[in-house]
Amino acid sequence: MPLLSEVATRSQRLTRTALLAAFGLVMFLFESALPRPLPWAKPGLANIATLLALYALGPRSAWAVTLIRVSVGSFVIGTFFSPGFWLSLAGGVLSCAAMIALRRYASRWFSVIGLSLAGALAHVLAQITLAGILIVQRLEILYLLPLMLWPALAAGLIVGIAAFLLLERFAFEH
Amino acid sequence: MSNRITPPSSNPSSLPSRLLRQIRAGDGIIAILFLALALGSLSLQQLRATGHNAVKANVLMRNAIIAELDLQSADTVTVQGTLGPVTLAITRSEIRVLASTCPNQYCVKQGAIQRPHQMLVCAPNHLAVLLMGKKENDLDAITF
Repeated sequence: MPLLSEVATRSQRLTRTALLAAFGLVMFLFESALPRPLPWAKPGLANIATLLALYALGPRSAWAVTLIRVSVGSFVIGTFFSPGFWLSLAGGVLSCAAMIALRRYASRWFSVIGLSLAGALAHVLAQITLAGILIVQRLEILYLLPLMLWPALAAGLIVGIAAFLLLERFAFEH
Repeated sequence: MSNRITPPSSNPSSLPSRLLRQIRAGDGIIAILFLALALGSLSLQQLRATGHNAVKANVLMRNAIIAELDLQSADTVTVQGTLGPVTLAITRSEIRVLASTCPNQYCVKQGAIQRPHQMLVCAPNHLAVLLMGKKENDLDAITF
């Protein structure tokens, strides 16, 4: 089967990017309605959409899917331009950048699970750094690191396995 | 594209074995890095949280100290946050947020703290309570 990224025309690529963005948005909204034990601990299922876009359609689609989810998602749940929005944007941008960089320069060394874990790690580091700069402004914020890293590790694994199964099923290249 | 939704029946092996076949060296490195950071930060917390109890609590608003509370005497203090009053209760060298005007009540649910460097935060009210040890401002560097 040919690679999707080879056969996709411009409009196919656009439609698929839009579909994945919508999928990511739905995951984001679903998650934000779930109760959470810790305010930052959510599964990050929307990252499945970014991973699928990255593997099937390339880095530009991955950026589009991430940025659309963060901005439109915050419009819908009403956090646009709130501190939570900036944290979400920083996490999304840095994790997307990390995954794209690994895919482009080190794809021989990483499967989709490694990329998902790297994305989760980058997300945590971006959020805690920005929260430290914007909100808390004290090194004590580092005490939150284990409380953020453990859920992120679990979330990264779940998202990676989910993306793996979807890529396998839809015969994308991976 | 006709057979896009073909189930992976051509591949009858179980999920773990299919996953294992895909795993690369970098995945392990990222996982180990992740675990090391998580364990490392956990031990950082354990290391700093041991030792004597705090003697003083600084109430911070946007990083400026607005009140200094003595943890030795039981007391109930109300400070004004950006959303409204926040009530702090001191009992047996511990401090907790008794009541707050914030929507999520994370600060109330956090419970009592008693060790130096521990912190209660009510982000919607722009308030934080930071516990201090015996020395004034005994914050030494946290290397990372």
